[in-house]
Amino acid sequence: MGILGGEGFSLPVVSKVNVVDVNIELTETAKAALSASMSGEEDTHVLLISAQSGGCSGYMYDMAIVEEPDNSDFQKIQFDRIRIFIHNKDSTMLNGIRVDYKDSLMGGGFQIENPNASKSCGCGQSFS
Amino acid sequence: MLASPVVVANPSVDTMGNLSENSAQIYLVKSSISVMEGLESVNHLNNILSTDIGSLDKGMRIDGLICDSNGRVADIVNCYHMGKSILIVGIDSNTESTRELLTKGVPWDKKLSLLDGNGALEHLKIIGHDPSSLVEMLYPELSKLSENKYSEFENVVFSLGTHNEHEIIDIIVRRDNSDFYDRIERCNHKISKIEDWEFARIAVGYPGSNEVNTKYLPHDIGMINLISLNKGCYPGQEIHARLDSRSKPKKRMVVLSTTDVMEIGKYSLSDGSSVKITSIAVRDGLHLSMGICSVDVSTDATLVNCNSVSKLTLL
Repeated sequence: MGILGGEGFSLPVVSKVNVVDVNIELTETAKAALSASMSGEEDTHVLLISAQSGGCSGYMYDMAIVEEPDNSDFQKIQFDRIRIFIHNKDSTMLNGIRVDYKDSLMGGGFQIENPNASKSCGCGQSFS
Repeated sequence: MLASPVVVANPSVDTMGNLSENSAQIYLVKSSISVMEGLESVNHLNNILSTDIGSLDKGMRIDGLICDSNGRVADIVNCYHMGKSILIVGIDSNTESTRELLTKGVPWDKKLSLLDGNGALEHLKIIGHDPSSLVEMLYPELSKLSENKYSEFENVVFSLGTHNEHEIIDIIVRRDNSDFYDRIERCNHKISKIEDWEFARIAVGYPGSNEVNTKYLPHDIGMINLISLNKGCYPGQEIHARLDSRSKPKKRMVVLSTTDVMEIGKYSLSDGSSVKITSIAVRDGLHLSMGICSVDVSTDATLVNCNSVSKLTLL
């Protein structure tokens, strides 16, 4: 049977998730950089922004250009032809973020400012 | 100014020696027991823990800290890779916060679930002189235990760890495993009570709920061995790295042995520093206290301005 077999284990522990309507800001430089990255695939691909455990401050951002996921749990925000998807479970953490793009050799690239973050790590990829 | 004879010492040196000469005993430990299921469990945990558990594989146990973004220790967890799931054992008082942290940050596309194992499993520890011999007596069929691995025999999980140079054997057993409890009885042993575990863990300098509550850094509570500064980011890593490269630890954990009861709180010491008592326990008239004080505390410092402990004697 094994130590983990048999009865006595509870149903999965579920963290309560509050879902809010997400508003985000995308700067003009970020729009231009995203358009260049998507290179004409705006109709089939989306920018997916998510948060997960890790990083120096507790949670870290993840951004990826992916094929449009077939999942009704995402909120969709449209900026011209660019579509940004954020999962409902991340809505509280990511509501109000400002996505910017800085064109510099050191520390450049996409950057996220998060009004919900009480703390961010030095590299800006992690927050709590 | 009254000076009371009190031993203030590094747990790994003085008080520990006396306790480890006692025969090994089995203690019931109130712990948080959870089971994480899902293919990405190890990666998910590795993002959170202070130690690199990327290599955790079936049959292995790796311990780690869960820290907050200020580098303070929020929990100490033992992770056992059970094949299809990870058994996670932490400190009881942190159950809720640890489980919330483990579940809240699951990536949207990863199927991970966390089960509450406290209804099914019990956690025990063996501490004292030569704990391995006690295991051999209970389970002669069991092969010798080694660190970072566990042995599962007849639905009992045994693993060996060390803390302040003391061997500690952890046992995870199903609550309904009557054979395990029968074996202990047949060998004329008994399981010590939770209150006795509190005494034993202070004796070996192992932090408990009063020390692992996001108030102290790993350095403060003697848990620096559970930090991997070369593993990359984890919550608290920036603080730990800065402490390692730019400063030195300011606090350390101590154990006080007295014959009279202490209270939780701050006490002045004869060398001008102070000690903050965080945990107290008593057994057979011997009082032990765990505390945090300056790393530079004098080894012969004594308590001052403390009338209630004037009956203390050196151990």
